[in-house]
Amino acid sequence: MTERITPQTCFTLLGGIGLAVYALFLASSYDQRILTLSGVYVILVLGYQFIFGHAGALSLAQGAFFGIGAYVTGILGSQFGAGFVLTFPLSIAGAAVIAAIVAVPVLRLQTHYFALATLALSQLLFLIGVNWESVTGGANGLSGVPGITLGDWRFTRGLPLLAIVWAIAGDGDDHRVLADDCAACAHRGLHGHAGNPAGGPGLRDRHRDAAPARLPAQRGLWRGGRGAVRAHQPGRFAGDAGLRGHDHLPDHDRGRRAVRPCRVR
Amino acid sequence: MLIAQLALNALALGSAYALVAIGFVLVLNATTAVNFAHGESVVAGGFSAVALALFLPPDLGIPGLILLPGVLIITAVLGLAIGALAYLPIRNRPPVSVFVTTIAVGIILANSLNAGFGAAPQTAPALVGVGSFDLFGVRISRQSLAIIATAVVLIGGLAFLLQRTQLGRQFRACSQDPEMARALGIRLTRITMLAFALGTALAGAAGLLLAHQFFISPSDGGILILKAYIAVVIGGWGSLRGAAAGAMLIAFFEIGVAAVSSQPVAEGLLYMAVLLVLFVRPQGLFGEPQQVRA
Repeated sequence: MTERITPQTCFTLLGGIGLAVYALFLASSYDQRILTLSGVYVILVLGYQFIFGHAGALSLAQGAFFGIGAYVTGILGSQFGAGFVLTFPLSIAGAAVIAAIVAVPVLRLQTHYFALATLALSQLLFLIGVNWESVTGGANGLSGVPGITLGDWRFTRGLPLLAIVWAIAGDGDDHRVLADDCAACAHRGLHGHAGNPAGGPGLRDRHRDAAPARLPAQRGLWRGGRGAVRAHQPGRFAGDAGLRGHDHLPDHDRGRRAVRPCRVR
Repeated sequence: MLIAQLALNALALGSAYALVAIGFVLVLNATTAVNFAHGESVVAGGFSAVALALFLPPDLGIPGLILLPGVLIITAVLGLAIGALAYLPIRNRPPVSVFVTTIAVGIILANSLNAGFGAAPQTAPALVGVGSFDLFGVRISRQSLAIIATAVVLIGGLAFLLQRTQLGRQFRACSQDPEMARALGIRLTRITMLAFALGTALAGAAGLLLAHQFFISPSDGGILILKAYIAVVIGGWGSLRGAAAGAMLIAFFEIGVAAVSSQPVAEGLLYMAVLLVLFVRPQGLFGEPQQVRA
């Protein structure tokens, strides 16, 4: 993709290089931790960009999908000793599957009802996280989640973890084009069903133009089904972030690897 | 007799929820946007009661009810601040932006309260003293009765304001047709800010009512806004009476289910019921009295 070089891209580039230099040579371990966390949040936000930014649907369950990803890794890692190679895809799949199941009914809802349904869903998952103590460890959370290893590579806390988190975050950003397509599809589906149910600014205008006007409502509906599943990228990405969030969930800075219930809104 | 006691508890909880939900609808009707900082406003009301109670001499047993005016004033000012910070600057943007700004204000409020008071649940003084008395063999808790009475007085006052005064007429005019109201010379901004003040003050009062029996902690806002939201959806988006009815329904459901199982189960079932209702009736249980605006 060729892009014009504007002052903005220059600033972004310079800022990025500056931060990278800082992370490599100057950052204390606390700074590295913060930078790692921001990488995790970048992944979380990239996922949210699909559903809120592009499809314009105000989902309040993004944090819950983050949590599902974190708990899949946390439970498999701490209780079964599963490693990153297994937990990473399973965390993504777990969040994506639940998001896809929920999406079928939820995507029919209009603006504030959509927000309410996703909020209720996330509160429900939060309750399960806090109260199903034998599996989730309740409010104390799970400890002893193994770190990320790939073959002989151990991504220990500090620079290695920082590097892999940002590598994955960068990878997520490369999917912008795909994201636009998915969102266009989802958006068309939403529109085919009930006006502008997702509310908000909706898709950018170019997508609105891109959606062929001749699309019959029925076809729009059918596409909605597919779009619904694809719009589940947000779930996927949230699970992704949750995974790496396993020792970085906000709310507790105790220096031990733990997954604990907390609200991420 | 147990049933009567449970019903009284549910009525008390429902009255407090009704105040929250009515405050939510006031802002909703004035702005067509959801005020997500509303749950934290309830919490702020509870904590202002806790803070104000520090000025009461503890040994005299002064009833907590005298804190009500103070709590109302503090939270009304808070409401004005929320309106000025999170609504007025973006009033011409899509309503969904207000969602985002008020969520941000709510997070700021919750964390400020956490920094100021700590994360542990706190309790405010009882409204008119603790204990209970017997009436026809039913043990009636003073606190429950006081909650119901206070809520009835506040809601009655609001109903009088909205139905019987010129200001209330302007208020309703603005929520029915803001453009026309403005054309007729009603100061829309002033009315909107008044809605924020009134709505948040009602939430604050609910905080005072809830904070003795049910405790209050800085992270409670999310659950409270969710319940107000559910009440409003059950009762019909934008309807004040419906909001109160929805709040009662939630409270009776919660107390009833919790009586035979436990509180987390009751809450979980409530959320599942809400999801089910939304799936079956995507336009809300009773439809919308006004056209879709948010």
